[in-house]
Amino acid sequence: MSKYNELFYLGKKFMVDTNIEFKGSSFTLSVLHLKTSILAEIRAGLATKVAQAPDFFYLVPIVVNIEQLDDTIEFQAVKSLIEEFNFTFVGFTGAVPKEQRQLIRELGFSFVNTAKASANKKTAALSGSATEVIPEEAHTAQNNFFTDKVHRGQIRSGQQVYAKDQNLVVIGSVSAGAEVIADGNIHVYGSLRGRAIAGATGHHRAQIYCQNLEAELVSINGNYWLSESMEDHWGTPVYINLTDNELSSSKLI
Amino acid sequence: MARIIVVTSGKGGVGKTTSSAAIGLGLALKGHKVVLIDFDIGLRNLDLIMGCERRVVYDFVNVINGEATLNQALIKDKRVSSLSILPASQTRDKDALNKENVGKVLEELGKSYDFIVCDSPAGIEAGAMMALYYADEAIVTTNPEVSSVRDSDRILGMLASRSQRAELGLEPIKEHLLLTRYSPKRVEEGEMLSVEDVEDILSIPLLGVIPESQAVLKASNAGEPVILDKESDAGQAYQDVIDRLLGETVDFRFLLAEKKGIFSRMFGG
Amino acid sequence: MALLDYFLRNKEKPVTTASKAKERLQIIVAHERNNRNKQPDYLPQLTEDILVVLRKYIQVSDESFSIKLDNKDGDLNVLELNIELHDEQSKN
Repeated sequence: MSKYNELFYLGKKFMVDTNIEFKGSSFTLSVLHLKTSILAEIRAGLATKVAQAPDFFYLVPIVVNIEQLDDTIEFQAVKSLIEEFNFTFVGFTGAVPKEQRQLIRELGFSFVNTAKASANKKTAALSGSATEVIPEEAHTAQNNFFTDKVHRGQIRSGQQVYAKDQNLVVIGSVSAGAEVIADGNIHVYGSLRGRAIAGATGHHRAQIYCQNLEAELVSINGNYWLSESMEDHWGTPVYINLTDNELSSSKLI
Repeated sequence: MARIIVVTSGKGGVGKTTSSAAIGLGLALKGHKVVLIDFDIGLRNLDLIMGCERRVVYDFVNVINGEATLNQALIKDKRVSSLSILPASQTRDKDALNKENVGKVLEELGKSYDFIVCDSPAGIEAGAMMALYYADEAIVTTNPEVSSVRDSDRILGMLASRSQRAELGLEPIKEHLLLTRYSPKRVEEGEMLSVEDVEDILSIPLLGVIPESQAVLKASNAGEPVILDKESDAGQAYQDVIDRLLGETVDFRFLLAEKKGIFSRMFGG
Repeated sequence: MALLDYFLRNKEKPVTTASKAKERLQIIVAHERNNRNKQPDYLPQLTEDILVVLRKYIQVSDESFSIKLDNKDGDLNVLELNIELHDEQSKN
């Protein structure tokens, strides 16, 4: 028995069915960058790579980046080739003109937007070099932000909280000897006396906010400060972010 | 059903046994049926502080191993008949206590007592973990001193995650802060952490402040819990703790340094 | 000097808590050391049993009773029993 709730949002009517739910999520996907449009060369490159570790690549979801190609490719042929090597084909991606994106969609293939679109169009390397598989951030969902993991209460010495693929919001204080980690931002509505590690899996735009900075260590995307570097804003409400790969703290309120 | 209260701290030597004895006796003097359990494995103290060391025949582990019944092991206090003590074992076997066998003993005690006060040993090993596992409430005994405060914080983490209430997703253990060996004079001189400092770091409600007092040593020498020394500051502070545990609102005393006159300075202590 | 001592000796030396503590410790530590020196396992139960029998006939309080197993000269085992009798009262 399903119940329909009707919502009105910006003039559009949404039907919310309580049997299913759509949510935005981020996933890290492997992206295959094509440097040649010649199928035989692509096949050769894939064969070499997959032979190195066949089990590793088996059924792995792959997004194919075509921005380095000057010539058009046969999209269906590329998809079939990918699937020949037992990858799971997700879609195409890259900083390509709008027309090309549209064409791809019209042909019935998914086009996935990247988080950072490259400004320059790279010229194709026709030296026959093998294609490369580079793991890169590709969001399959429409939203590019994390959801919040909310922790109510103190985080005590010896405890650790990890907000995987989320921001972390602590309503309480983080004691000395405790550790809070998030792939996104960290907000502490209280005193931060332990260690805070934001952007843990590589987000350099993550930030750390707290009402009272007395931390042992803060880190964003691997760049860290120990207590001695926090003298400017020690004991005050602060937010910390990464500017040009350097941490900087600013007065919060 | 009995209220199970664990007196714990993490750090050693901060006043757990002194407090357990005073609180157990104090509750019994108010007419409640109280049993005091020493959860140490190997080093028995509670019996000495209670003054019943010469009447220990059987202990906690004897009961668990079926070598004695609870009735045989429990020692009735000579001063208040509604107070009994279950002494600790002198064994070094830390596997002697486990959740099942401790649970059974507590369940049986729960039928005849209003309060079960568990005196925890220091540390975070077996004895301490067993003492806190079944607790409904915890009195976290802390000295206004850095390592004691940090260890108390650690034990608070354990209370929130390693207790039965945490494992079963029940209402969490009610936490109380008992600040012991407090010296208002040194706090005013800026040499000692204040009540506010400790409250700020630990963020749990304050149950009581027990001033540093010579009465405590005298009490353990004599085997008479300090709450019986009604003239002493520590004794009175523990009495306030009892009243608060029983639901009364009592102002906190002994927070300010006494202005001693010349005579008390010459003759007093 | 002797005269002064005589007068002073009559005044009871106050029992300080430290001296009480020392006394309690001496008893209990000796007792525990004794236990560590291989007191047989049956001793606590033996104590209980003896007390039950005694109490059928006379009043015995826990402090007025002590039981100890001594190993004299390695060969001879002596079971020492001390009972302080009060007022020669009997139960019936």
